[in-house]
Amino acid sequence: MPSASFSSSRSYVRRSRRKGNRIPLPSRTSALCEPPCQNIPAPNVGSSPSGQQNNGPALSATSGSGSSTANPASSSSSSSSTASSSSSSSSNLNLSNSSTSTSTASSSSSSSTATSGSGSSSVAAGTSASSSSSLPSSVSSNAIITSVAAALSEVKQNSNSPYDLRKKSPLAAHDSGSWLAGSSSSGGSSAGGSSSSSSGSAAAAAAAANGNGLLQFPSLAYDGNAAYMLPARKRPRRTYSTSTETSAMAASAATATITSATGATGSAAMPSSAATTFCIQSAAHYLQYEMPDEVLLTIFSYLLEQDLCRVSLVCKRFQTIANDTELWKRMYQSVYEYDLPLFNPEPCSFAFVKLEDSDYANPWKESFRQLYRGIHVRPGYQDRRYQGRSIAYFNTVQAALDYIDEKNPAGTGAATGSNSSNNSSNSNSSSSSNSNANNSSTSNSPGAGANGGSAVVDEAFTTLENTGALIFLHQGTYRGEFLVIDSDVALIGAASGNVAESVILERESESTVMFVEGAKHAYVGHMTLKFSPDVTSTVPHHKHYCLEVSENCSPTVDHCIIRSTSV
Amino acid sequence: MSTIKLETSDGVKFTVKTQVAKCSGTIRTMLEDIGINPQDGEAIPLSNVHSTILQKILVWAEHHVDDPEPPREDADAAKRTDDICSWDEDFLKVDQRTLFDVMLAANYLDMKQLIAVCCKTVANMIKGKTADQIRRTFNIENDFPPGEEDKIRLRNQFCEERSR
Repeated sequence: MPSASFSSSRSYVRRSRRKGNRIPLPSRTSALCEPPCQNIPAPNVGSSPSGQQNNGPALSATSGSGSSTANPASSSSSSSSTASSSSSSSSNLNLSNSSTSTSTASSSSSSSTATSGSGSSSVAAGTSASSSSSLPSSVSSNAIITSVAAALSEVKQNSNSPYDLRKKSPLAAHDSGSWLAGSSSSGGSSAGGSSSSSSGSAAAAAAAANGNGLLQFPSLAYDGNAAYMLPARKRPRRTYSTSTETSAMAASAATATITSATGATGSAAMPSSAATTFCIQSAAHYLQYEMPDEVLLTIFSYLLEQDLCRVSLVCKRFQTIANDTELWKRMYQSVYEYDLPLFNPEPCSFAFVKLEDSDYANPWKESFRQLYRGIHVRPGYQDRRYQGRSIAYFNTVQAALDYIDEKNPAGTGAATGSNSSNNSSNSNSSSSSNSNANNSSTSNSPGAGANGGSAVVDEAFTTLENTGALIFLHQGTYRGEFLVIDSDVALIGAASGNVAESVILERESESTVMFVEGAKHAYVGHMTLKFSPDVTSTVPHHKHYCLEVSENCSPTVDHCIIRSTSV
Repeated sequence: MSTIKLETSDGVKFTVKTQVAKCSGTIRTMLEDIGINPQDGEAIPLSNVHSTILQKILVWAEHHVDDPEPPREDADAAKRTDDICSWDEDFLKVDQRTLFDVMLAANYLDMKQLIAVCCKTVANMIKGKTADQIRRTFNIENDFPPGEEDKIRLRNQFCEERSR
């Protein structure tokens, strides 16, 4: 019967990485460092003990250990985490050591009589007693055995990290535990009573003496173990309480004793720090194992691209979730509005790729990446500031063009200067001035390599990032802008639905878009160009067009609707 | 004012106003769709929620019980995290474990507003931090095999390049 309760409490521990799981929620009572932590925030400790049921002792144990320590203060100090975590792992080791020795002891003691206070069984008892803060050592051996069993089952369940340990946490140990508890519950209670009168350190010393030096687990281990055990005291108790009410009471008494004993030996700081370690570790544990994917997704949905990219460097699970396609799709569409990801496979080429045709695991993110260098013309967005996003917004196309000119005066100069040279060097030079110093040094070298021969995908895209400026024109009609393009800039419509129809550049007085010298690799695409002169005006328009391309330039015009009402 | 009883994982029974309890989608569904009659005096078992956490959640629900339905969030609008009301901010000034416990429970109880405010709080803990700082904040271990992290960093570099 107790085994059932165990397996149910165990189930929460498994690492739930399954997708879409509906909370593998911990059955609360089994959580490891529950006691101290709950006491930290809780104005509500008082509320719990009323529900006695079978968990009464556990609850009282909770408040007992919690009150003995000053957790809140130490829990905030995360700096000590590494050190204390290592110490906790060492105590883990000790625990497993002692658990093995105890198990032999308990098996021997359960098979034979456990009356003698000497011999191997008592040594083992001493060990376990020391690990469980030596409550019974000064008492009858019956009580000792109880504690052996208790310590044993505790050891099995408490050790936090080794999950395999949990798996093989044998029913046998547990059974023997409850059996012993059942048989010697009175002993246990007497243990609680008597050891409460003796001081903790004295008891430990007695145990050591009993142990005949087999208790070489150093005093440090004793401290660590005791500290380690404290918070989780309640678990084995629960089984007891289901079996016998009296033993449960004894157990809770014993727990209280332990608390006071540890406090008396002056190692009160230890339990709290150990508990702290658990708490801090468990923060990671929550995020990495317990929190269902959808909750993490909700958290990440509040982040923008910069933070998302950083988050994906944190750990594997974060990486997987922070690369979620829906997450990026939502963000992509809030920035670029496109229904499908737009790719920039080579200079002057921007094409939509259907999701099923994409080679990328996350086409949205990849497209985001390729287009991220762009600046946006999106009326109403200029003053919006987003933490974690560095995208420049402008209200007019002209302002955006001016911004690019301003930002890379050298770049434009270099580009025009090297017009006679080949394309790749041209784009490279302009890019190096586009990006800041750090990037150009890192991204230029692979770029050169990619130019040299057949490019690996990654390198190709590194080159890509070096190409010229991008301006996204968002949904709407832009009238009366004076657009003379004299550099390798790409103007791209950005809207949902039919992009070209939603983004309209219109002019009445002169040519809508003019490309002049310097615009060798300029690009206009995915928009409507309209020239609609006022028919009533007397200004002659015979030299004005939707699109005017002058000498020494070779712009790409792609996916454009061109409408001119000029006669 | 009708009340219902809730029983937590550790066996503590809470008597709660029905209206407050209905902040939880899970409980609302139980009451309305499955037709559990709260007048029976039988407690609704919440086997995944500990009493300390439920207590905290009930405090939140009590405070927010009269909140209007939130407007449907505009899918286009970037989600804000700076709109946590000051009461909630104080409410969530707890240690990480409690925060996560509340989140898990709120998720189980299907309390969208509470989840949202918790997620915003955690998002705010992440924002503006480097990967290393995030790891330190939550004590997360870097579990990438050596070399893997650099590859991922390269792939995620593009955002950093733009920041000036």
